[in-house]
Amino acid sequence: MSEVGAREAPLLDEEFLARCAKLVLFSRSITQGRLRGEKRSRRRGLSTEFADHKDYTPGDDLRHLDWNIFGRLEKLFIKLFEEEEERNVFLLLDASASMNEGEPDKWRHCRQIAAALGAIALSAGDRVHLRVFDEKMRPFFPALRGSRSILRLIDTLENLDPGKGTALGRSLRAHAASCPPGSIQILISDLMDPKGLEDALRQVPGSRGESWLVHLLAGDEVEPNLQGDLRLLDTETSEYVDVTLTRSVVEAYRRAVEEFRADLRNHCQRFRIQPLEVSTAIPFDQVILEWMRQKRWLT
Amino acid sequence: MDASEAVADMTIGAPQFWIWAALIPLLLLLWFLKIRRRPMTVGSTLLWQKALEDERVRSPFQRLVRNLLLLCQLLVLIFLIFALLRPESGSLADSSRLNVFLVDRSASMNSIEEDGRTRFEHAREVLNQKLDEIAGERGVLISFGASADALTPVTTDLSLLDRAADRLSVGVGQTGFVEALELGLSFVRQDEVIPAIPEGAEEAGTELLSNQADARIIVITDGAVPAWNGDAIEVPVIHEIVGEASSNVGITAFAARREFSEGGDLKVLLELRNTGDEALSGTLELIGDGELLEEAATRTLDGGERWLQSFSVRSGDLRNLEAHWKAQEGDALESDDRAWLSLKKSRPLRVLLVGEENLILKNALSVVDNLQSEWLPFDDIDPESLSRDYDVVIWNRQVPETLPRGVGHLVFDAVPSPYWTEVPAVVEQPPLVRWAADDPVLRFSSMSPLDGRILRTRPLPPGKGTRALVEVREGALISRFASEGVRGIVVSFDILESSWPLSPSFPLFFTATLRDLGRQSSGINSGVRSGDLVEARPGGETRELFHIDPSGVTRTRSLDRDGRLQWRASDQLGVHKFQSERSSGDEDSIPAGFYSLEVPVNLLSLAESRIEPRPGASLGSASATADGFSWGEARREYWPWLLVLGLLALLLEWIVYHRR
Repeated sequence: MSEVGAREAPLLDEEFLARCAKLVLFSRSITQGRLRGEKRSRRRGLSTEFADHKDYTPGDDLRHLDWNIFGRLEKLFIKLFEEEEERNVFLLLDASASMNEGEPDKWRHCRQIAAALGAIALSAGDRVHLRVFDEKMRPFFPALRGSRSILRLIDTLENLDPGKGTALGRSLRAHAASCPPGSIQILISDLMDPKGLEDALRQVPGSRGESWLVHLLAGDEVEPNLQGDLRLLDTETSEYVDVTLTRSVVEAYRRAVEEFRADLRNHCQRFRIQPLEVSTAIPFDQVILEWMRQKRWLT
Repeated sequence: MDASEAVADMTIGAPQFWIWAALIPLLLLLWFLKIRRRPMTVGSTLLWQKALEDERVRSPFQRLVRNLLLLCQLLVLIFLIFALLRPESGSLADSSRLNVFLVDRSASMNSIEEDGRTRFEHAREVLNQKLDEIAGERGVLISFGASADALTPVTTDLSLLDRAADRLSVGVGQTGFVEALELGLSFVRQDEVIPAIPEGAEEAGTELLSNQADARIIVITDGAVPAWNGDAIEVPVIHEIVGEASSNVGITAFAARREFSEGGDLKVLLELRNTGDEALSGTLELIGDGELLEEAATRTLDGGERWLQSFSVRSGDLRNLEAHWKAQEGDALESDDRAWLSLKKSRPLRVLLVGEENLILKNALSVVDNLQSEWLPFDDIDPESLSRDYDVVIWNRQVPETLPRGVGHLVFDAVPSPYWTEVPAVVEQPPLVRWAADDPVLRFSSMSPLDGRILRTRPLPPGKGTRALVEVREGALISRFASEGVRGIVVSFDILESSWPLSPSFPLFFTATLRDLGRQSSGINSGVRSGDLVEARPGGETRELFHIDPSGVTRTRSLDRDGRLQWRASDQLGVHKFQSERSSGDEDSIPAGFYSLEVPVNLLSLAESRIEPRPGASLGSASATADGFSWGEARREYWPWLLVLGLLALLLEWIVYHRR
């Protein structure tokens, strides 16, 4: 699978979707927290599985009394079953205007990654919540479940349009209020918010489940290919910066990108968020199939 | 002197070039007008703002670095302006000695010395030696001949002086030593440093120290220079005398005048001098248009002897006369052995005889050379056309009431008004009282044949605008009159009633009068000296003249806006021709409006012919010692370094431009 293709082309093709079906989102915190030792079944009809017994205490559901033991030992034991939980996977897409700039196309890249991760999650039986924000959180899309929702997810993503400004903190605060613990939150954004990162990242802490951050920058944002005397217009704020592209200024820009990323990593460390720095110069399938697997986001 | 002191003592040699500093704000203005930033939309300027802040923090001169091109261009401009300003440092104490070389290139420097080389070649050799000796000092080269010229500026660049010395050539002019010394002194005095006046010095009557520059004047000459009568010279003047030859005979005067004699109508006068101590023999030839006119006169001139020689020749159609002294041996200077004159053939005099026929006058007119005459009865004349068609009108016994202007009048036996209003009484055989022998018309003729030999005359009384030329007691027999553009001579008797026509004085008077009234010049041009200014005004539509030099080379010379050609006589002796056509052709085919001027360039200078070695010019109280000079550091000029820095800045600008 290659990213090469016209803007009008489908975000994902069938071959890539088939490869996605073999992958599962790997949640360290949930696995370690429950100590189950093996992967739980996602099959329908086998939603509970015996796990252990415990002494009966008043108030326990009598439907779960183990009458066989009571018959043999005349003691009341309650059967404990392992609950099969549906994981909530939240795809948080930054649809601000800045995501629509840069070469190669950042907005398409963002939607392709979201579509791929959503498809993987749906294939694995997770419940997928698509949440899109720009200046504020857009109305929530209904949660998707099951492989049959993959196309619906892709269709939804393909019809998304980027908005104008960015308000990461405010938007993610709206998300955090309705995000149950134990969820996997995947934030895909360039994080270009003049108000800073901290407030935004505070809303998606890894302590409440699993938080992944795909920090997406366009290829020419990482390695600017500009020259001459320019007036750079901010697509969101309409502010401008006059800049003469000398070698030292380009070097300073590179340093600014590095410092921004370093700052981001610090915040991610603080909020237990796993960051992944992605450039649109890298094909998105390589990001999904290689980088995310190396990072053990996918198995 | 360390660098800071050098900067403190730095002076600006050409402060007028500060005006170019106005280009700096102009450059800045152009630069800022030039920047038109290309707008470009980016996702966010967040990182760019951080980058620029970082850049500003990292480099306080970021703005300047960002505008490195502007900085380079400013540097180029500033360095060039400062180079133009000619900054220099150094004071009196560390200025190097100024050597002012005055090199004689006058005619006497053409003298041939015993070794076969000219005196000038010896002078140039001395000059080259002296130039080799002044390494590290400053010098300026001035040549003097007919004029004094500074061949170089004051410079430490000896190669410049060497090249100027190599280009120097000897002339044939006189020795303009005084002019050259004044020029040299002006260089010395420009070099002076005005000392600061100590506070209170004026009150205390303190005598200021001399501000004399460390300089010397070196005169390389044969010593034949005029004395200096100017101000005292404050710097040493050193004479380097070259040449030892002294034997020379030169033509020091060559003149001619038109004069009637048995031998011819042209009297030629020559003066030769032996300016040496030894007797020299030779022959003197007079050559007309390339052909020997007279038998060569052979003569031995003793040392210091002067020889005056005259020739009477028939000028005929001669155009040029050349005198040539051919020494048998020992004559060191050839330039003064030849001299030239040019004889311009005058336009024929146009004379109208008006009145009764007069055989005497007709015959007299027929014998006058170079003259065209006509006769008209008194009633047939047109007064208005007279001045256009004739140079002289002869009125015989009748004159009009008003004499026309613009033409000369010779009146016989009539009374022209308004000079005389009444007809005087008749006097018979009056004795002469006197005649004006100084007047041009009577210079060569005696009036004694008129004394008591005029049967009847009406002597004219003195009148306004008249002058009596020949007087009797009762008045004037012959008078001049002139006023308000009318001029003439009146003879107050009928020449047929006198024996004057039979006397030789009549044709002499008659011819001289016609030439005087017709304003016909002798046409003899005795020439100019090298360096003299010659002016030619061909008139008409002529815009350029062809200059044919004595060697036959033709050059075209343009006239100035006033239709005038000013030519400074060159160092080429001989006859220079200026004419409106490239070739004059035959006399018969001379086109209308043809202009010709022949200018002989002669030496004719006793001072230059005297070539014996002399100690040099008398300079009055001026010092002439070569000692007592101090060696010091050269005055530093910084413009070459500034120019180099400007070029480096230009190179840097080029590199920056291409790297961006």
